[in-house]
Amino acid sequence: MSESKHSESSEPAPVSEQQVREVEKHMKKYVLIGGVQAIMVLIAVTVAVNVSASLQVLATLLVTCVNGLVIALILMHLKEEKQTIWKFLIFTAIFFFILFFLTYLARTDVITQTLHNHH
Amino acid sequence: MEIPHTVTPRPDTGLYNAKLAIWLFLASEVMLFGGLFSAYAFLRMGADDGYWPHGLLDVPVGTLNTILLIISSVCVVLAWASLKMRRWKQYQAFLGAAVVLGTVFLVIKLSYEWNDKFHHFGTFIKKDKWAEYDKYLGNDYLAKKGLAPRPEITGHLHEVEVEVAPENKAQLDALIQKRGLEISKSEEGGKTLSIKVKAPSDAEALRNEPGVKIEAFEMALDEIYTDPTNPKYDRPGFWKRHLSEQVATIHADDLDSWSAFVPKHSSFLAIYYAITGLHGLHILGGLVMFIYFLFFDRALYLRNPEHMANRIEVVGLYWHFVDLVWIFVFPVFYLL
Repeated sequence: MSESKHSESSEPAPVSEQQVREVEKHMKKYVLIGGVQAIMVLIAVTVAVNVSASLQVLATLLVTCVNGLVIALILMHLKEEKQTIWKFLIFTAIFFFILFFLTYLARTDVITQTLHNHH
Repeated sequence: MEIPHTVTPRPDTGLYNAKLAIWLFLASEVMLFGGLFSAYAFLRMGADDGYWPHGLLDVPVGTLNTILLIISSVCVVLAWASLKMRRWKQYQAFLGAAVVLGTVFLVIKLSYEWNDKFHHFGTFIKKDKWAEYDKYLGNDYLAKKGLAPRPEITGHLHEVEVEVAPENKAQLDALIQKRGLEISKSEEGGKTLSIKVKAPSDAEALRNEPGVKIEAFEMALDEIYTDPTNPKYDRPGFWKRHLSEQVATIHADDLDSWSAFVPKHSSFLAIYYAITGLHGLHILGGLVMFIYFLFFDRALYLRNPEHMANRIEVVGLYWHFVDLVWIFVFPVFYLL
């Protein structure tokens, strides 16, 4: 077993200066990403208020999707993640879209017709 | 026996065990929330014009909550980075901030947003009675402009007028006393009563009382119903509807249904409570884990700081996912 351990009574051994600098650089990036995300939320609200009704859904969801991608790729480190994770996330995404597609089919099915006739 | 690969990656997956596990868990979570979002899309696309409610949710408050969650997400990743630098105090500060922000999010959601809905009241007018309530609904004006009609009048319930059978009067009095209600008017020897209510749940209790028939509701109107032909209300707006001073009397016989803004009010609120409730439970779960790591995991940090950092990375992935879900919940419910 190569996992490093330290005595329970003392503080863990400090990491190297270089490692600290590296991590601090990442920390700045995370704060910046947080700021970008907050701004994108405000953009989504502004878009939803000001854009015409026909474009509203598309534009708002587009901004939201970009925001979601930022979280997944940077804060969740998916950008640098192993292929194993990417593979089953791609499978999940496929199932997710099938789920939505089935809903769409259901809408054009007899059930919706029944509802419309009912009204 | 020690569990292997809590710090070092497994040779076959290239990942330490907990990371693989959390991503598999998050994949299942995508399908869980995906099913609910799919239900939302089905309801939203299938809703007839005018029947999908707008203006029920408070956009500025929703925006604030979104930003709180984003900041908490950043705090968690900074807590993880602090552990990587072996800065325990800094880690505690960031994770503590995440706990505070997550708690504020939940408090706003439950005590303000949900509570506000539980105290709001909606009455769906029968279609053949729309003309009688046109000064509130403005459906003649909307029809002339080719816009969808308004089927519902909403606001804050003040009073309920009931008719009570003499043999049930004592039971009704007991209910009024138990719920701390007040009779503002009594007519026909106590057969017809006007009862001041605190919340729509009081009206529900009166409805369920044997021998009691609800005759009418007296409610303060949401501002849109005081000026329904104002062109500013032509397009469904998502800014929250404010209450006006104007009070209207709505007769119970003229209604298809009435209720507080609870799940049974509409499919919109049903899916709203389902998704935001499930999301809230995820927030609560995350907070419990954070508090555990904050106060009960120091020994692991001293023994094996990398293992501790991995734990925070894993719980951080969960928290970012909860943030990600909210990033989608916010626009679909509050903005569209």
